[in-house]
Amino acid sequence: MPMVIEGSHWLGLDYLFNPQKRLYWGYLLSTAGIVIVYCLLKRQPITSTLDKKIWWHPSARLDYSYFIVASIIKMSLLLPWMLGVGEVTYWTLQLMEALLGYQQKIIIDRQWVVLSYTLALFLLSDLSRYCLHRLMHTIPFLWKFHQVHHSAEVLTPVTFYRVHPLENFLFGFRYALVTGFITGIFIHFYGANLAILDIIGVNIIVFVFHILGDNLRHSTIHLGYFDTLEKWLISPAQHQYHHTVTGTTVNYGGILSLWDRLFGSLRLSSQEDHYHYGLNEITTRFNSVWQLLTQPFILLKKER
Amino acid sequence: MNYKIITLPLLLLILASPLLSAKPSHENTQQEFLRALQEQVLIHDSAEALNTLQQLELSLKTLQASPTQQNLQRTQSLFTTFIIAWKAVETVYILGALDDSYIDHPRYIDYFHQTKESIPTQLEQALDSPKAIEKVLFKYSTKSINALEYLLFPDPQQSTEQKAIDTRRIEAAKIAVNNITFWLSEITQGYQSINIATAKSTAIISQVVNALIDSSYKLANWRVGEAAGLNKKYAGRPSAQRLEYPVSNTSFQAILSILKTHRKIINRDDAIDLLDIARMNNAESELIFIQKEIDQALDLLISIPQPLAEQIESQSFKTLYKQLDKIHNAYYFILIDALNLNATIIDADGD
Ligand SMILES: [Zn+2]
Ligand SMILES: [Zn+2]
Repeated sequence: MPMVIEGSHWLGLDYLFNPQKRLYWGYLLSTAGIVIVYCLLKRQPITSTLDKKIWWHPSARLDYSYFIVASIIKMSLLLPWMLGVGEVTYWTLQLMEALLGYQQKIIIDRQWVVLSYTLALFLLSDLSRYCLHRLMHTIPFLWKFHQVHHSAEVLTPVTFYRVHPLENFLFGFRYALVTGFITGIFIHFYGANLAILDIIGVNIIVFVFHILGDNLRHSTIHLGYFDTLEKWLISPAQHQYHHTVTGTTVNYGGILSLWDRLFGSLRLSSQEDHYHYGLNEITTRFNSVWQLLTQPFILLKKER
Repeated sequence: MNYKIITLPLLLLILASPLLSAKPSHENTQQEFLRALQEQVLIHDSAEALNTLQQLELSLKTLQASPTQQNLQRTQSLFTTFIIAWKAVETVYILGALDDSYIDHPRYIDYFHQTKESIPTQLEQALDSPKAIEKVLFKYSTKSINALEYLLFPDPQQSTEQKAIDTRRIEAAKIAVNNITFWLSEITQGYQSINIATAKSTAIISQVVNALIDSSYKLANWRVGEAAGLNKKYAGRPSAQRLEYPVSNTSFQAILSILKTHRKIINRDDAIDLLDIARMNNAESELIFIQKEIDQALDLLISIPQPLAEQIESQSFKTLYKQLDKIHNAYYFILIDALNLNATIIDADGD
């Protein structure tokens, strides 16, 4: 398991040194590599990706300061309240034993257990992420909070962290529920014969996608895949389209676009040409860290 | 310029440090743990069980030659010694997980909780039958430890002293001992033939932990809960007949031996133990917790007056059940902790 330097959460260093985080230096490095290849193929100067108009745009600058404040809020206020995976796993185990009786642990080749557990975790995690993201858009109460993320007018990898703490909480809750539930079921049947297939402590599938440039989802690199692949995997361009004024009803997917395809919300990047990011109505009110944190509540109050 | 040349590799080294420390080689410690387990527990305990069984066989021969009450008592006491040794083998039986052909061995030896048929009824029929005893005792259940218990401990109320040392009964007991000896020697040889060095150590350790989880469940629920009428199936209906050894009062020694086996695998002074393995997997504190709970269970058990059959409705027996159930659940927390799943929770993605 990877060493995470104690206390580095507070210094913000954890974001760069922990492979569980999107901004882990290894992923940033691989992203840079992809960007260079992309620019070479597009015959576009690499310097064009360093455009000050993007990286120093008021919206991007807000992302940076919000990132710091939100991290502190998450660590100090959210973490103590967060539902633990262990609790959910334990409840699931108790439930399984109450419903099905005790299961003598099945003897089976460890690699199959590990493989199917890793796959189940990945699939159900991605599906639940799709569902919650879609709900963030369709339930008016939740949309007020998800607007914080969509209020970004330019996209940089840091925009990933422009998420209201309440949304962080919901996604954390979802993670604990899904991971705990699957883990409980697997422990019920296989006991200790269980592990996640991982690279430096990260689910191998998730690791692959982080290395393959998850960070480009929020960036100026319009990397689209060919249509067939975009029916299975969400390309950066597809998520970027989700961030446009008109795109908020499609492409909710995290890693797989399979769910979007199955539930009728898929849009391919080849169908799009304009990318105007932000919100239709009230963008102006998300202009400071304070507003990002409080605006959803003000919107709620107004509605009453 | 010089400054940059020095800082660049230094920076790279710092950046790479999580990668370097990510997968320290645990393999050696795991191998060492398994080698110690094989020698000091698996081979040692099965050989010990076999040894006591051979003494029991000799004692049966003596009893047959000279059917005195004294010889019967000696045989009965050797039965208890054998139970203590056998429970240690059964508690951490991983041979079946290592080699398919050994999966059913314990079931040929021990019929506790394995059959709905009444072993005493079958045995009485066999003893009353005019046919040769080896012809009627063909089922494994009638040649098991549980059958042996019934044969060696005749009910003093219902049978005369003659019946207790009845030749046919001793013949039947010898058949059971032969059957158990056969399977137990295979188990001992099986453990001796495992080559730990070529085995996948992580997978075997998982089987060890699974064996302990299974054992902890059966200990709490089968061996204590069902007799006390505390589990769902027999709620409110305690019965001493559901104890593992209802006629010989050996249940106490069996529970004691099982708990001590757990304790020994978790923590031994002279060897790499499960605690050392847990330490490498961030689950040390949970295992220390289990160790303390086991010690507490041992204290509880010893404090209960003997025989257990008369205590199944007592408060202390109920407390023992709760304590054993706590141990079973605590094992799950080790697994949960070793999976280390909480790390990503706060970074849980928004989109
Ligand atoms: Zn986004
Ligand atoms: Zn959205």
